[in-house]
Amino acid sequence: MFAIRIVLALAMIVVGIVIIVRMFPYPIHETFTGLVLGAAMIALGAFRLYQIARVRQGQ
Amino acid sequence: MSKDHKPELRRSVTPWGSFSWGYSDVGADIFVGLGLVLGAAAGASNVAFLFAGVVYICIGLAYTELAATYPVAGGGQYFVLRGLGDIFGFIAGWAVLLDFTIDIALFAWSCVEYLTELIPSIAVGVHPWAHFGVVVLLVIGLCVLNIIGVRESTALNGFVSALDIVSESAILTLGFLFAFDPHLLVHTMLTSWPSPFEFMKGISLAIVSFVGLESISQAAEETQRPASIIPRTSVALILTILIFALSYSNLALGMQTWHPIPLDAQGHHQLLWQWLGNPDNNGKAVALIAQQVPYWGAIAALYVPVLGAILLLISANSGVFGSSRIAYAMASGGLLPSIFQRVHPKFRTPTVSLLVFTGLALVEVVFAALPSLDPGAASFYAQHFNGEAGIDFLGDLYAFGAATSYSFVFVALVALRLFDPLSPRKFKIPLNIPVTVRGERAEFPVIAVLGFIGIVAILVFTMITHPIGRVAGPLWIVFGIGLYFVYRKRKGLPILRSHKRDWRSEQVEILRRAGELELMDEYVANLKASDERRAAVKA
Repeated sequence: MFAIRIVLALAMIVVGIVIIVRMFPYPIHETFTGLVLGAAMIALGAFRLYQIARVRQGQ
Repeated sequence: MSKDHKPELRRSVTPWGSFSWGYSDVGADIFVGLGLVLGAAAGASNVAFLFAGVVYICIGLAYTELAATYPVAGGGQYFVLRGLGDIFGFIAGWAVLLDFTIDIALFAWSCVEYLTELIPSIAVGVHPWAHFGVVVLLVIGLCVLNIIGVRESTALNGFVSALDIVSESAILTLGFLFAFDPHLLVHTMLTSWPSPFEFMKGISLAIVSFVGLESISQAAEETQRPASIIPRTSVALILTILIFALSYSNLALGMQTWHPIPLDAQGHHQLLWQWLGNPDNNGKAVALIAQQVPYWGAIAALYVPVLGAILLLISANSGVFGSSRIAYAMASGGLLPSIFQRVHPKFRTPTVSLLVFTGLALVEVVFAALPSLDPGAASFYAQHFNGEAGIDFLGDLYAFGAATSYSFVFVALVALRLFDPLSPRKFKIPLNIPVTVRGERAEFPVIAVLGFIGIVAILVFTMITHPIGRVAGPLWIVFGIGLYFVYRKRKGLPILRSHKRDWRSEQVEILRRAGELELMDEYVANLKASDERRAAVKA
């Protein structure tokens, strides 16, 4: 179960990075929502990894 | 403190349970909101979602702090009652009640819309009476289930939430990796930017996609160690919902479709967002976008409508459950007549509350369905309500109720920070200004003010752009205040002032029942130190 959660969190970070990289060449005012989306995905992925690490340390 | 033994709810909700309680409610919103926002805000739908999403983050943080500090079932209504007094607690609770009844009607309606993907004969456009009948049966069915005391279990919520998160993540990941075209997104935004009126309407509808975080605080009284667990689950939920809303809206504007989009009613070509936002499809937009995702779309076409319908049904059920419990809690607090406390002798459920508010939801369903059932009503709606019907009609009122109750919650947060600084807060919204109030050190929450400005802006947008919301919403509030005045006068209770309560003892009891004994000790120590300081000043 941990493995699936880690994979999902990592996938979230990767997709966030892909979105930011693909949006980057365009003017920021036109792709701002995409950049926020990418940042939110990276933040959630990192938050999930942090939570998983805390639970594993607890075990 | 009372030594009477009061019945307590069993604390069985785990971190995942707490998350899934919130997700099964707020996660369903995007299934309704996406099509509505695309229909209104067109090429600026993603910006509309971002605006509402930023306000939603502020709302989420406010609820997280309040639910972790005051872990009682009652949510926003309780926080406002405690922070601002009886009359405002009543108005906030009354607005939440409006939202919950619309929640029942809107989500039952949308549940049937998703099912039409598999059973086209119950579509509004095919057999309006069949569609209406199924929605009414669903609402009655949910009411009966709640009267006999069957409610969805935390396990079912958890299972459906997990399935939906995995499914939506797969759809969005494949969509962004293989079909998303940033150039198309920019092009759509530039060529299909809406008028200011449409943009405001889009923002006011986008808040519909973020309503329901209340569920986490509703379940606070059943959550294990709520002060620790609620902040963790809320942050994850806030980010998850924001990501889904932004992802779907960006995909809808910038995705290369996997299959051809059908022509519109006039035989013209249409873009993906136009197809999803038109009145025939705006109730099932997520199922349609899922079909257009590469590779997974063919499978998604089969199960997403069912998954969406289940999630929407759970959300409708949370409206039935929530409205009856809030009415019960308001009656217990002397804000509503005691008839709403009456429970069924056999099933021990608040039957009167369930029947009244489900009945109200049925009335809303009738008003939403009238234009599809009767051509005369359709022309009346076209003349007076911009032709809004179905989920547009219900979404209109939903936005009003949500914006009103959230506005009060922000003010309550500021009031509680200033006038109840001694309650330990395990989670605090960041960005605070230290102040001294009545000799106590407190922190003024800047984000609550920003959130308040944002939600009031959404309320103003709702009043400007929604012909039904600006009439029916305030009428509902005025009707409620009238009812409140009559009731309080009859009972000999203060009308504009608040009934005296011992909040200190109540807070100690709340923390004891929550199992937050360290926080309870901290609170008692804070009270003692404060009393000693005051005594020293007087001496």
